[in-house]
Amino acid sequence: MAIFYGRPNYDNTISLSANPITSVTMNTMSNDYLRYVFPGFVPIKGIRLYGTTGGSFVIQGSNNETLWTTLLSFATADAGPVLDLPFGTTYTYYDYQIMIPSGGAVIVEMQYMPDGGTKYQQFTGGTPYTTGGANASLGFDNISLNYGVIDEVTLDESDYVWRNGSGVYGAATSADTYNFTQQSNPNLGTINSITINGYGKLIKNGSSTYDSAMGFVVNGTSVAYFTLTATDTLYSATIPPSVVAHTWTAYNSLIATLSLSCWGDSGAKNCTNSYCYQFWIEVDYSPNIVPSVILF
Amino acid sequence: MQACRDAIDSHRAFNEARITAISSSSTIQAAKQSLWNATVGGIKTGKGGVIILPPPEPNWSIYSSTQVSQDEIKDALEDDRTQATVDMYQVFADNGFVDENGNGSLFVFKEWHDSMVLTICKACYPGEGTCDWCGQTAFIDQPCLSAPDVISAISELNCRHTEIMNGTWEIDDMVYLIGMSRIKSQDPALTEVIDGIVRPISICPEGHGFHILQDEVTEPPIDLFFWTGF
Repeated sequence: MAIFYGRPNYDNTISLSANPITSVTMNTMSNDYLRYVFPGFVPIKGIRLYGTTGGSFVIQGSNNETLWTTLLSFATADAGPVLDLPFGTTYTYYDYQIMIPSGGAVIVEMQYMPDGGTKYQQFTGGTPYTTGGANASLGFDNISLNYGVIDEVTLDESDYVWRNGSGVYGAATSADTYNFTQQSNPNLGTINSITINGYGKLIKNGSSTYDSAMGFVVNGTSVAYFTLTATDTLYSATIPPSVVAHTWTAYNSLIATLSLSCWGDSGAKNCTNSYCYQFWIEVDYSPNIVPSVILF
Repeated sequence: MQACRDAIDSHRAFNEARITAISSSSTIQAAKQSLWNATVGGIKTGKGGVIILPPPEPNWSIYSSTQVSQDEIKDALEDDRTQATVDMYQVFADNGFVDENGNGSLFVFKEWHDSMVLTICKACYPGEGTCDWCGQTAFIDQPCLSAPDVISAISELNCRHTEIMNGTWEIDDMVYLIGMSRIKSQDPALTEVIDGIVRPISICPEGHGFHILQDEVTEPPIDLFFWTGF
């Protein structure tokens, strides 16, 4: 028996599912603009941006990364509802800028609809950079780096992905989708089982008595859903062969969604936040035995 | 305490530099150089940071300059990351923040840190008052949100005094936490600046509930808002 570990991988792959809508929590410590440049993903039929109150947003298009055309903007007061931006012109680059108040946290998601498509899909990745202002610094649970805070081999609780209940009224869930370390040797061995794993916990603030949860969705199929506790705990689930066949090709195509729920009373202090510190796939396999050649 | 904060800052900067190195490098040699020469948010991630790696004068040529996949670069940097993580936890241990097994613990540090911050907050922003249930009496037909010069204590809805009281009728920690959240927000609607110190505006309607003793406010000696996301 042997184990192959698949860690969340750097990949600009678009989220598998269009619905339910997934989103990513961004967290910054500065009152500044963050800009994400997306190399052209064209042609597209439309673009939309989700955000919670607390930030203002601008979507721009450009063919040279110098001259930008504002395609859509909305201020804090408008943030929250979905805004669609159907347009016919395609650009080589798109970006969005998010102005986040100092110390604030904003949930934001950019989605697009492929030409000929019927559903919006989450667009992740792109190159983040800050622009203007002092002390511009990205948090670590942002849209482009979030895989990097949960892909460690040795558990590291100083960074994480999380779902913030602050400002939420009732329960809410966010999710993000990852690809994993590719395994390039098709003859590595016979797969016995594949499991999905995450370390997580909840933190209750104020008088919140509500729990939150962590969910695993693999290739669009829900595999497990766990109620979190206040203690950092490993949650694991076996991925059935009906969801991911026991082949390395199927493993390499595996896309997993990590969902985290929260609860809040719409204020900042009575809420339950959920956290994931580490997330990975384990492939248990029996190595192929290479016949040894004995020379006389 | 500062050493632990610095260790967390440095480690986070290290991780951000690691992601940049993975995404921007095509060889292990380039990735190693990128990681250990990086400065993120003014924090040197390598030998200048709290976490001291690699050797003072690394010999980059020992690392492969052959183009490889991002997975391979990621793997090549994982030992560095693990060592950085171990070093960060060692800082917690060195400062006495250990779990029941004697291992350095971020959460033990955080628990102590939060308690310390609250104590400082109480000292720097002293308050007084008791809840008179105005949200259910005097203001029952006038939600706090619409009362003059008052922003609801808990939410955009009516005062939820029953949730902030923790079962007591006295001013409690939650009032200070609300005040801190207002200061942290830097929202002009929730804060005011007097004598150069940012303060939360009234928690409760004038003549009711809890209030900061503005004349006794002093500048906090430390950044009260180090933690984000917790």
